[in-house]
Amino acid sequence: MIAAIGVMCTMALGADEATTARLLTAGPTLAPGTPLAVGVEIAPPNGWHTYWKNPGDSGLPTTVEWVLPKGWKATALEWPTPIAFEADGIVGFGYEGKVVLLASVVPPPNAKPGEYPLRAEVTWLACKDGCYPGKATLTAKASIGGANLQSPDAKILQTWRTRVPATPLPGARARANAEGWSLSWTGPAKDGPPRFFPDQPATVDHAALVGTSSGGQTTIFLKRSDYLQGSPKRLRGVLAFRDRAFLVDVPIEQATKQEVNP
Amino acid sequence: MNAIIAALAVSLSNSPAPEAAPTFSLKGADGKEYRLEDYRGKYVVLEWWNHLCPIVARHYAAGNIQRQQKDLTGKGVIWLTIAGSAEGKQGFVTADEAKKIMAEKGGAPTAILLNPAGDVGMKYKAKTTPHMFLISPKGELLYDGAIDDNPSGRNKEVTDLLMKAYAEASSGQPVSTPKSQPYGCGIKYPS
Repeated sequence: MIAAIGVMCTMALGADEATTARLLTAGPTLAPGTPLAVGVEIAPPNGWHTYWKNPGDSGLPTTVEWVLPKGWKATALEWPTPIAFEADGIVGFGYEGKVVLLASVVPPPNAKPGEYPLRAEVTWLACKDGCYPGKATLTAKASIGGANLQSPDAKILQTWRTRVPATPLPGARARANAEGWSLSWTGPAKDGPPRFFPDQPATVDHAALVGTSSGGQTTIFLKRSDYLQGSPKRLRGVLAFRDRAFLVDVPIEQATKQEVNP
Repeated sequence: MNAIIAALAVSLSNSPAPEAAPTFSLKGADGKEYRLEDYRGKYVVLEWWNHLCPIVARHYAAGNIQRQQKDLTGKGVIWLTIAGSAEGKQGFVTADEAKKIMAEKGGAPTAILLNPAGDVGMKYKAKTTPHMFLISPKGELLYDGAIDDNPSGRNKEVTDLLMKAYAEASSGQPVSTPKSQPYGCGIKYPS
């Protein structure tokens, strides 16, 4: 099945439409038990996009599967703040152009000096007017006990690190209402209404977002997706302003009366 | 009076009554006109299709959709595959192309319907290819969502959600998952 997609992909992609992928490491050298920053760079041609961990209404998330030496571990993938792209009423979440997805690989504390191969099996879906699947086996080397060298990619990894949301939304509160949830926080809306990216598919209706602001608090209203089953206990995702993004991971307070979104 | 009691019964029941499936009339790739109302008394499946979408291609390459088409049409279900890409966009097909491509893949829908105008997809709020709907013999929408719970195509355990909805409904049970988030390529509606 995968092979069939691969064949189709080669036929469908012109040379100018090819997406490239690369494994970046901050190394090559590291100490036993010390994490090494790594990243998977996916670079589709101009105007093409790939997808966030929740792709939105359509698309597929990029996947990374690590194949590491025995005893080595990789941390969970960290995703830079996505953008939303809309086509004919269908809203996708992801990255236009190049993105670097970040992680760390950690050798075991008793790792011996030497060179170690790192491998990442990566799949993605690149879309513009149409979509093309891609996959790649990416490799890099890490060494333990050598001279303390940094890779030129270390700077690139640091830059992308600043684009991964890490600060919790100040004073965040989520409350259920008849149509979905309200999310409020302490502070202004900053340059127009922000966009909420839910961690999980089928949570929020991606097309709707209204904001109000009063008394130092800002509230936005999130409409429950038609596809959501059951009632989530927490609201999880990223709230992105024009130039900053915050993490949201708060319990959902249940409504005391039948409130509706304005 | 009866109507009032019926309305009360509906409002008191916990699970909402299924909505009526939007009606439509579309030209088939075989040149015939297909009206949803003509199939009252039968289960109807709608499959949004774009043969160039890699997720659709993955399901057809695995024989997955063809298997479901054969299984259900063998049980008397009407399976309508809807080519919903607008003219000039990825996946747009003429009647002849639609028939040829489906035949090459060994697909077995009851008919392929052509909807480059996208109006039927918009009525159903169809979002992706594939996006599946199951309609009851009374014309109610029983299922709206993904073909299965395997967006990545790499899960070992897969639940065919459309098939499950049909199995439940046709044995007189309520559909346990009436909606799920569809996955695939966005439908190429007219801009």
